[in-house]
Amino acid sequence: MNREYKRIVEQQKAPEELIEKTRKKMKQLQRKKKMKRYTVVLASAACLGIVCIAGIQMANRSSAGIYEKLEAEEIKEEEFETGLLLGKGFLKEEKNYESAFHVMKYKNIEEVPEKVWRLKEQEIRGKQIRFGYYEKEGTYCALCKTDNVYVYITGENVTEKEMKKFLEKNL
Amino acid sequence: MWGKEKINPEEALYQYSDMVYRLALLQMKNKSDAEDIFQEVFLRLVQHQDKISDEEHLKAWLIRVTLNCCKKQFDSAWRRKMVSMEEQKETGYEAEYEENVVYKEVQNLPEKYRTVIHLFYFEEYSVKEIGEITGQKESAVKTQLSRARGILKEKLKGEFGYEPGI
Repeated sequence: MNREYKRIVEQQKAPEELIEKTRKKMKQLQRKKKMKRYTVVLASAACLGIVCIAGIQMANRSSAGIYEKLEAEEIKEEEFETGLLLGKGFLKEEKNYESAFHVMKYKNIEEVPEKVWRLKEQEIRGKQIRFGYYEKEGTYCALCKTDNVYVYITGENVTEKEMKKFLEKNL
Repeated sequence: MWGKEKINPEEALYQYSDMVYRLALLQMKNKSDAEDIFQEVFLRLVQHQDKISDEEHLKAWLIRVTLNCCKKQFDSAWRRKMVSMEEQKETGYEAEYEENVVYKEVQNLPEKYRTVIHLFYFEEYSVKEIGEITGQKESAVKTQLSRARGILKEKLKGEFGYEPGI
């Protein structure tokens, strides 16, 4: 009986058309699987790319902000392109002061110290300059606008004559 | 994800097509359902090929999936609405293959019994291997084999008499 059962079952073969039809469907499914894999990889790469670009842009923005702020402060130490002598001014002819004069440059009017706007305007070397003295700090201050830049100059422990001489020399 | 796939589904299709088809035909008792099961098994192979470690595992996997798909088909509501086997006889298995009493009686056995008979006598798996494939204990497989033999012996007594083989 065992032999008989085997004989009959061995006659049963999967039809060729069925095998071929199945093979085609398997190929289709394999292609879909591959496309799905590529899509996942591409999508992940795209997300990563977006995150990196956003990160770089954020880093640039914040560092640019710092740079602009520093620029105003660093001018104390460096030459100013508009022709004014910036940074520490030394009164070499009469006195030897360290850090007597400080020059700051601002791009926006909002950054200029508010107290300066209360100073009266005077004409020095043909330019309208806000000029005044702060008794508490013992400092002379001057503000003028040159080439769309606000130049703010302070002079510590100097006389009015010395301050005006500095302004005349450098404006 | 990019690792080398160990199993080639197309090769497996050519190698095991008859095995899957025979098992599906035995379970479903008609060509149309057997062909549906056949396709489903190999499409599942494409989806799960990464999980199959080697050739031996592949054969057992195919048998297990075939049996599961057949069971699922039996349990589906759609199946319950199908016309009865008697009405399908004219276009069913019997029209394609030689009429055989032995095969018919094996087909008439309860599902679990005909599975173990087929795997034991035709695929020549051991009781232990059948247990691993079907997820049963060895003792359960032995019991099923013994009972199946008893039923077949009773049914076929008139045809073949007692044979030590079964």
